[in-house]
Amino acid sequence: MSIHLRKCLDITPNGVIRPGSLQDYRVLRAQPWWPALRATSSHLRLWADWPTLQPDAGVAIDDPASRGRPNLLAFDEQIRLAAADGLRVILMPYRYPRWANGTAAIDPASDENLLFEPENRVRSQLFLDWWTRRGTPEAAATREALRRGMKALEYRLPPTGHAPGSPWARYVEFLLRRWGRAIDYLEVVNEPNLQLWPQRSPSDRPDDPEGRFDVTGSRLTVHVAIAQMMATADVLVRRSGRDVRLLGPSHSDADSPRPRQVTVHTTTPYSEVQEPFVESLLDELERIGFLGNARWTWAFHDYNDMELDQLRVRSLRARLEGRWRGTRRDGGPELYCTEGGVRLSRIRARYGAALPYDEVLRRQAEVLRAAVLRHHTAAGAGSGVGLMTQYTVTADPNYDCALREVGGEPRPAFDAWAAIPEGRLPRPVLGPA
Amino acid sequence: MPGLTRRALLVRGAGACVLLVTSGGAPARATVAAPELSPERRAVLGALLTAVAVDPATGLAVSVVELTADDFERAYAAAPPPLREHAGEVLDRLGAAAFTVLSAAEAHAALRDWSLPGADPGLAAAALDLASLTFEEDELRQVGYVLDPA
Repeated sequence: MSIHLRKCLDITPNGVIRPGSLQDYRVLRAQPWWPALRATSSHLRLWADWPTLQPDAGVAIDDPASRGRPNLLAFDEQIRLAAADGLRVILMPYRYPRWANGTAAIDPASDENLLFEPENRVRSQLFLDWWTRRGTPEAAATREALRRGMKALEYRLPPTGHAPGSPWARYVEFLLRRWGRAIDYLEVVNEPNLQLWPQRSPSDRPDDPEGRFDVTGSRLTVHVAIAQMMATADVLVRRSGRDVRLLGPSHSDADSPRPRQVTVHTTTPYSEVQEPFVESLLDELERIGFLGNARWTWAFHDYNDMELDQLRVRSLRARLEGRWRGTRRDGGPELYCTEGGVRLSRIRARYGAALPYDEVLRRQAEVLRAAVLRHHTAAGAGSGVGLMTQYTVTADPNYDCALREVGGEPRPAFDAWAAIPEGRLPRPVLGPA
Repeated sequence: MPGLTRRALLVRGAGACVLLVTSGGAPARATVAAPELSPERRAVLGALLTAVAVDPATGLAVSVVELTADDFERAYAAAPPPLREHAGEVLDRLGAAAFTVLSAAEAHAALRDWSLPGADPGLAAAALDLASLTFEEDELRQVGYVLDPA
């Protein structure tokens, strides 16, 4: 029953990439307000950023000569402390070093980067703005807008795949070897239907600057890689002998109309999709003979439901029923929400762009509180949901749904999140805010 | 201080700045949240972005640093007060560490030095986060600028 809901905090990859930030668990747990947060959140989601931990192809991650060593040691300490603090740690392999995905020779500042599969990395409008203005006074601005809007090279799926023995599999083996005793979950991937590229095969007009962005003539491909990842992770965890549960595929719930770059996870009452990620993935899992087992819980991301009081989660569970053999709850597939939150931008969109900032924050707290409480029941949004995750404690201003400001100052959302206990709710919590 | 390089001075300067901030000796915050970026802060921002641009891994071109700083300045003016305060504070810490007197290569090296344990990783992280601000929502939630490790 979802009255046993657990709560998780996501502190972003920053703790690994930029140790010393407020997203570094060592720094976070030293804040005077941390105990209040910890008291009602039992899980911590940590991102093992592969390019940071292993920047060079020929140097093992744990080689003392590795250029990633300071970050590795900082991450060691964060995982050790989180486990010692009694947190249940979710560890996720994240991104690909460019030496592993065939992009090492591309200078990120070059035109070669901008021309490298732009149809898989950016909205067509940004590309065409630059393409048609080359040689004009506006070229510098449109070029920079394009560069900033592109999916980074580190999100490209590697040509070596994800089978046992692949560089990715060896990285996951390393994670299990080094931290398998300290972590509770391995989360296989993050938002494969949004962050990773390519999502699809080429269009039927690949040589046309505009036509290459078409969907026509292409087919979804990303799900094939993700199915292989999941099957491989299952093998690796079993072989490791570690008592580690598995989470995946942790798809985004975004439904932006950019089908070459974002694959909508499934058809819901709020959006319809021709080639949904979830069904395609289930088909591929079935094809390769892997349908999950008791070690697995299906993971998903849940911003829209939280922000807009929607029920996309119900559609997702319906798709999984009878096709996925992971853990179950409330009479159907169990789901772990490994990212969610209430963005300030969505509060403004929902309640008014001119809302004063303090009012935006007040409403964010209100919506967050209501969203978490909705998941604390075994019906509606909460049915089958065993874990809710708050994406970021302190704000990432580029995607802001945090509990505190970027510098750590409090927001009302902090108290709203911290006030809701895990497990069975005391009656006053269920009352009006 | 004979025998000290400018970079070493800078690392020391950063440490001193942290002490100032933590002991309450930092510049008064009354003007921190002003919507305009002061000329001093604007100069520090330019130096920061230039330091990021000379790193081969970031993709930011030196030729668009001014453009990027202009965008930042406009967005800063419209940002909520806590973000402005934070940005101002980080720029002031960089300024107090004499960031603007360094060459681009030295400033880049200083950012890398600070990120090492025992130096000032908090300031390095805050500086790179600041340089990575897009001031618009990034649906992709990419990681921002990461320096090529030393």
